[in-house]
Amino acid sequence: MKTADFSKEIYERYFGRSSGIVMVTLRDKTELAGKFTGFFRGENEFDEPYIVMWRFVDEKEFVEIDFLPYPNQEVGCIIKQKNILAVRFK
Amino acid sequence: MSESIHKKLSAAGVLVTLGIIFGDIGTSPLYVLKAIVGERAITEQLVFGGLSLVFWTLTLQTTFKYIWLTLQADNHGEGGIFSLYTLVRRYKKWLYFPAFVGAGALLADGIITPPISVSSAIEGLKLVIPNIPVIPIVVIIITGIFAFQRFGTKIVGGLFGPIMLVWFLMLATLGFSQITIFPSVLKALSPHYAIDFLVHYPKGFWLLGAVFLATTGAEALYSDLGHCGRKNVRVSWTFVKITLLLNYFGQGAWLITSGKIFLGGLNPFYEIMPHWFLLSGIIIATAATIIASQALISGSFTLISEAVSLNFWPRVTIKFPTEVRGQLYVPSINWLLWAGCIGVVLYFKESSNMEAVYGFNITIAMLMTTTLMGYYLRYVKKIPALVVAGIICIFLSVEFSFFIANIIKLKEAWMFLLIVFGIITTMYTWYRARKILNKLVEFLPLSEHLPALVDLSNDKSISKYATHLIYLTSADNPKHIEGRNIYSIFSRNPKRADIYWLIHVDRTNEPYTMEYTVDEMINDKVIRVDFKIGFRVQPRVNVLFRKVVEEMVTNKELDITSRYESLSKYNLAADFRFVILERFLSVENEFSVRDGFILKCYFFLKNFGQSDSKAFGLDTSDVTIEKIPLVISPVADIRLKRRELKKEHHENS
Repeated sequence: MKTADFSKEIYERYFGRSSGIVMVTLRDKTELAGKFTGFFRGENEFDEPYIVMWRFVDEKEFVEIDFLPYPNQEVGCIIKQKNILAVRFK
Repeated sequence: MSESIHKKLSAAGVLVTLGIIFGDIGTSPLYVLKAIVGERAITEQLVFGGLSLVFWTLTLQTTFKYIWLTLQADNHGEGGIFSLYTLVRRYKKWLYFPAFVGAGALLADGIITPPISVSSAIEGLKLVIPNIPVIPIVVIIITGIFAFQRFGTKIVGGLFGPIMLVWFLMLATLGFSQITIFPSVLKALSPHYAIDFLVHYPKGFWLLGAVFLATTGAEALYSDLGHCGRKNVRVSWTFVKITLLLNYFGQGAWLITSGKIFLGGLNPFYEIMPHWFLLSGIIIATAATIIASQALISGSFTLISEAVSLNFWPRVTIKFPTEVRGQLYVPSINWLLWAGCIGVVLYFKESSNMEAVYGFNITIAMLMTTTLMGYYLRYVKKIPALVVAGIICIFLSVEFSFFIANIIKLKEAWMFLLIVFGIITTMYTWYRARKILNKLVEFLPLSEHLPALVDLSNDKSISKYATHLIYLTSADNPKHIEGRNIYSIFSRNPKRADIYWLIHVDRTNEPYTMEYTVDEMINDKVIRVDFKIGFRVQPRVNVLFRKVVEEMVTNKELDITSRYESLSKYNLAADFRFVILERFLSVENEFSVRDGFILKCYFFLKNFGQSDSKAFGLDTSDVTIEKIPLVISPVADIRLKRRELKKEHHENS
């Protein structure tokens, strides 16, 4: 799925189902497999995307704990929505 | 007096309007003609030209721009630069900037208007008692005005209208008596004299700075619209304008007929008073200037309160001295303004020195209002772009001329410019930092955590933290929740509660909205309350929440009887506890230099403001405050390698 401005669709499809593993392709062609564990909202008022950034945890980092102890930002990485080229749901 | 009386056109409404709205512009005759003539030779060209410019300034700038045009731009009856901003902010991202600059200029104006008005009135006493110490009297009066703010104006406010009515009648009578002596002064109504003055009088253009003082109160007039209503303002302006013009032209007639070549420090305002009336006139003038100062101070409180609600200003203590809607008292601003006013009195000493710096800030505020008005006319009123461009060009050119003419005041007014700059910087820092912080709020899908929340609530192995546990959430979507809230509930000392409440406060663009919805996400376990609160209403969450709980109990939607066996049989109420999460700037962050600097300034400024719990009115409730670091980037990949212990090492030990 192309994700130029489809952050809401990604959000609804991802969290609407079982929040499993996804394959994310970044614009620099990097491929990542893992989970979205959080998201950062854009401002509607200024026509920003629904989600501007995602918290992404690579599958290699999983520790079998569904929601990780705070600070959440100490795990995973931040992916900007604009850097996402495609998201494939497994 | 009821609100409807204020807003509907009525004699009482007009009287109230005189007391609230026209104090500033109404006391201008105390110094305008004196400032125009100054130390120049009194000639017909100067007097007629000055009067003509005053008349056309009041007509074009006050009547046309403010009374006719700008008063249309009300936000549910409320006026002022922030109300206008909330109407247009969705159309352009940068419109916060003119709003900041305009508000900063208006606040700085609050430092000079009371000193110049009160000094002008009290200086008249020198005509009766030549050696009277003016400065101490002015300082005492100004200190009295500010000290009185904490009590509100409910008791004395009723006198403001009648006193101002007496003031305006006095202006008209004194002016008319002089016009009858020299009726030809009315020729100055012709724009010919204004044009002739600007074109031919030596350095005539620069006298616009003095002429402008006649309309400085126009911006304050718009700010106070909400107290009176448009119709009352328009009707009373007809009366006020006539009395002002009679007085200005009366002073002009005296200047022509007095035979004086120079003013020599005299104030034509007092010169047209019969000697036997002087003391009474000064008392009335002093009362009028006190009322004018009061209106400006109240306007400053409203401005700061709006700035706090719009996240443009650090949260400061805001008190409500009376139950009158919109009447506020902001102690920090009150004493800052007082210090500024006393500083102005002590530094400039005389009103004539203050005239040299007065007006510059207001030209800036007016230019900013015009900019926002352009967007209002184009996008809200849907007026064709060419028509809007024409209207805005006219006002921008007039106001820009006044601005240029006032620039010469910068030599003396630099400290006011510094104050304006300080206010704008504070607003920008606060606004930008809030934007940065909002972007760093990480949300999680609430649905994924609801089952765990129910299990935690039912887990008797964990001691109960509270019966009702309340979190504030910034998630406008009820399906979302901040990651920090989830962490606080589950990971940082798991907090078992019978009912979890999520409270969201949404500030609306309408000034006085007071609505709420309740969403029981899991029956008797997770309840979300969404408040919609207008930007002029203080979000006292404790009061609002109590009201919601009361209504839910009345509707039998909620049972707040204690859930502890020993207490429930006595029908005692359950405990409620709020958890407030406060962010602090962690050293572990990778902000850009600019964002990092803004955030550092933000957290520094935050030290001077109210805590979150106080700001939401929770200081009297059971509140737990948890500190949360503000970091965005994960800790860099740590290359920490685990080594197996050697067997012999174990054996040896």
